Amino acid sequence: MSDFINQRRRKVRVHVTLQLLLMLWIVWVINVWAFHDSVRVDWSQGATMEVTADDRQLLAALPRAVDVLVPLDLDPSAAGRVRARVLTQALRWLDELSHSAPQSLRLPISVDVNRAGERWEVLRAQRGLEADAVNRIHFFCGDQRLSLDVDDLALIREPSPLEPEQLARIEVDRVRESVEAALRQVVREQLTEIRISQGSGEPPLRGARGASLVTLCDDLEARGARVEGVDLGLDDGLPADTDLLIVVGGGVGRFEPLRASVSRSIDRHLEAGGGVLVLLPSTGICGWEETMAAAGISVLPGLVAEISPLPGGVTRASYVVTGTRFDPFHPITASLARQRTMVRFTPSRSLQVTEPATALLATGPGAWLEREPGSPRRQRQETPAPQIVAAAAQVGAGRMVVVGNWNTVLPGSWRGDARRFLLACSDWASGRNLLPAGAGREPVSHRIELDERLRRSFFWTSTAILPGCALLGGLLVAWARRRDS
Amino acid sequence: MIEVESLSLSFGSRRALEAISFQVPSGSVTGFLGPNGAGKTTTLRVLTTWLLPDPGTTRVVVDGVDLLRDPRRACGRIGSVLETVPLPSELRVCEYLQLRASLKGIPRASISSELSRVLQEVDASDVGRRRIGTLSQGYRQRIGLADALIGNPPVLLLDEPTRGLDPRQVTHFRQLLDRLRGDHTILLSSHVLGEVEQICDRICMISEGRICLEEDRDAWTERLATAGSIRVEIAADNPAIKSDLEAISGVRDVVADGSGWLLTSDSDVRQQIGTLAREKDWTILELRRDPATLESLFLQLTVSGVAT
Amino acid sequence: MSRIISLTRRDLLSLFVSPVAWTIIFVFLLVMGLTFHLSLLGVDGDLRQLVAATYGGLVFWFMMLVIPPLVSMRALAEERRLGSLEMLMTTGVSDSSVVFSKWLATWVFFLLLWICLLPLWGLLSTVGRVDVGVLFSAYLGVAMVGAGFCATGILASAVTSHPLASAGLATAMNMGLFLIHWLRFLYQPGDLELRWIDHFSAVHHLGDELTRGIFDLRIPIWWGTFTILMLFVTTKVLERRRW
Repeated sequence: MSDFINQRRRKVRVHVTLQLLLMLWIVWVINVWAFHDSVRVDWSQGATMEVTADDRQLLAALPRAVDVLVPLDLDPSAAGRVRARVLTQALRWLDELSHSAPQSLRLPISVDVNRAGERWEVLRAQRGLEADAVNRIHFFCGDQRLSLDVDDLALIREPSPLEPEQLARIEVDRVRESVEAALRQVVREQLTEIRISQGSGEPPLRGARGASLVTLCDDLEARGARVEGVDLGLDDGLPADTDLLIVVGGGVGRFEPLRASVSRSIDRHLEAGGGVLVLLPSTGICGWEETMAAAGISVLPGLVAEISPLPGGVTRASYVVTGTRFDPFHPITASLARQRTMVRFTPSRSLQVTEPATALLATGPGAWLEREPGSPRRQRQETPAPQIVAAAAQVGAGRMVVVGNWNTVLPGSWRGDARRFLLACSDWASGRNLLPAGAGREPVSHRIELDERLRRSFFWTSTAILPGCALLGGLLVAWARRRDS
Repeated sequence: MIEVESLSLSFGSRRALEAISFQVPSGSVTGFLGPNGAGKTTTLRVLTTWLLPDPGTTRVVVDGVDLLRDPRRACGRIGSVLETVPLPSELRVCEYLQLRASLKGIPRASISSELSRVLQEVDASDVGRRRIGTLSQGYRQRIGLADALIGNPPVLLLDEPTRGLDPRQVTHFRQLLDRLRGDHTILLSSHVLGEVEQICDRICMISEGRICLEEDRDAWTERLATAGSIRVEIAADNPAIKSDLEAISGVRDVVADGSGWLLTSDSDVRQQIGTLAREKDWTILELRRDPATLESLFLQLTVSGVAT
Repeated sequence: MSRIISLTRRDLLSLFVSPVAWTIIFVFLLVMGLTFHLSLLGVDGDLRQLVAATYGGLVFWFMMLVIPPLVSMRALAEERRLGSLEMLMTTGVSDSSVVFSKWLATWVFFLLLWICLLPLWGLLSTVGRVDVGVLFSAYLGVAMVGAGFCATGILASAVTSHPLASAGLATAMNMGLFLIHWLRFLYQPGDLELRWIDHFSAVHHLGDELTRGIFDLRIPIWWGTFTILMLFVTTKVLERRRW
């Protein structure tokens, strides 16, 4: 019997050790299994973070792994906070995507450039990023790089200087669509070839920031394109691999139309499904009139004038015109039409469209055409009416977009709605369709108006009534138990 | 029936029980006596399965169930009242007993009748709705006893059950034990020797972790009968009296006690003293037998630790 | 099973008829109510952000870390000290049912505390749109993380017979679990090890996932297995007296 206690003691010790080890092993195995093969559901209203079967398919189809880097340099203003929210949401979404396919899309790396300056420098050198490439989402796949700006991820209503800054808010959230498009784009083996043709007077493509097209080029390259200049006056024609030709200004000093060989190469380019984006010069002809006429677009002589408000309730007629009426059905403008987007031109030509072209953007009803530009003044016979400032046409398999002025692409003006509009134009014309136009959704608002009454009543409920109920409950129980015992 | 054989238990290096063996026959009430720290409560704790004995232990059987091999089944046959009677003061008596009844596997339907039975048994029906915290020590003791009686277990282990009871309650308790006697095997640990003497059929004395006496009522009555002392006072001033008294067969010791002598003997020697007085012509002023008590026996055994 | 229910009921009854429970509820509601109000002002009335602000702030984690040990310290340590554990364990109830019912009672009480905050959400839902899905997942998170924290509390309560020592030990263990999140600083963003840290991190589960409406099966699996492991170890600790 004495053996029995000893024997049992020994046996139990072995058993308990084994049981504990087994238990630890089971816990480990279950967790490893769950770690690699989990189910994630978004229960929030709108389910914006739900990875759908389509997303999974996209991730599975990625031929190579994609790295993501997000350098953050946040601005504490209300608008800055809204932008930060967009970036955070995009980071979360990338994290969600990475969760479901960690091999295809690596965990996004975010770095606060102010707090972790050294790390940012290391990453920047490693990836060959510019010092100001912050607040963007950079996708890397092999040698390819593609960057999304906050404006690509969401349309943000930024308050004007006269409005309270709290008006800043996200109008359209298209984080998912942008990220999806960026993923599709970045894994493409071939870059989009963009050629930029300029007149002799326009600033150079690269060079000092002030008077060059460097921001435009950076932006296009960040979106997966290779940008090169082309001189249609000297070169024999357009290189055959061109996806998109952007004509900036032109015309100045060159009044003659395109040479026959160049004209033929442009026709071939359009027939082959290429795109042309013409940014018109402020005056004179640009030499593209015939090609545009074939697409149903003609440029009227003179400039568009409009009465614009100045601070202090004063108005003034000027050549600063604002395009506000977007074609709600065209892929370029469908999403812009839903917002209160405004594209400002200083100045702009007026366009006329016939079939097959469509007007993309027109001014408000208060604009008129000043045929002989001088000091703008509305004549009696001039009837103000919306003036078309941008038009697009499908020419066979090719696409052509004409915009009333070129100087938006200068670094000083290349921002906000105008930038977004022109990028949408270039995306459509190049056939890449980087951001699906018309995509995105209005974020569901869960905000309540915190007026004084609500604040007060909520304060008393949360700090007095509710704890008071607990106190009362305790006293009642104590009283009840004392009473009948 | 409780059978314990070579039960040893150590707390670290301290040996609390040194291979003790005893038996509590079925239906009997056995008093478990011993000074503080002798190992009474430890033994009871082994019997309630709370403590596991040392490997040297040969056999601990409670109501036919081997406690070492099947402690959970053994638990079901034991009702116990612990020394401190730890009761939750915030609960009502009925709430507490209801919980105990459900833990002891009493079917839900019969819980209330079982509760009224045990409360009646311990004469505490009137405090069913009282909070335990408001009860006197006596009532708490009775609630502890009521708890032990739930489910009518064949074996009852009572550790100082009358502590804190007033004389009326003690009488009542004694009556209760009389009722339980026969149907239950009861092991009662107590300091109150008089009570043990009155109630118990059998006693078991433990000292320093060893059993020093285990006898039933007849045996210990006999032992007490023979273990008393005799006082004799003789009206004669003769120095030889002491040696004469010592010469009587059976007398172990003679000591002076005031004006008389106190004799310790193995048997009753009053007759021999009478005969000697006649022979020596002594005038006996007093000849009295002082019977031995359990207390004297307890003191004698627990101090010397002599095992019989 | 009926024994587990009886034991749990008894523990809850003991809690609710003593002033301890009501004092804890009162202090909890006072502190959390104030936090709730300040968070509402902090997020400028955005009810979706309010979920993350209320169930993820410093005060929230303080409550999560401190309340389970405060409740669980009574469970085994105090019973052992008073001797009532001996009464309980010698009735023939299995050790595992005692451990499980003690944990269940602690957990139910802990959940009740958080449920007491729901009337505030009810009030807000009369003036705005509360995202019920997000609120539900946040509560699920509180329940799951709370289950783990209560289980460590019960384990601590089983290894020592001093209630305060047990509370201290449990708080330290929970703090350890909580601090797992800060192992992140050992790695760079983008490292795969971070995923493993996230797998075990309560802060990540609540702050980054559940209070934003994202439910991941890993979370219940980790906290469920952790709770079971803790209760298993506790049972073995109690069984030690038998071997």
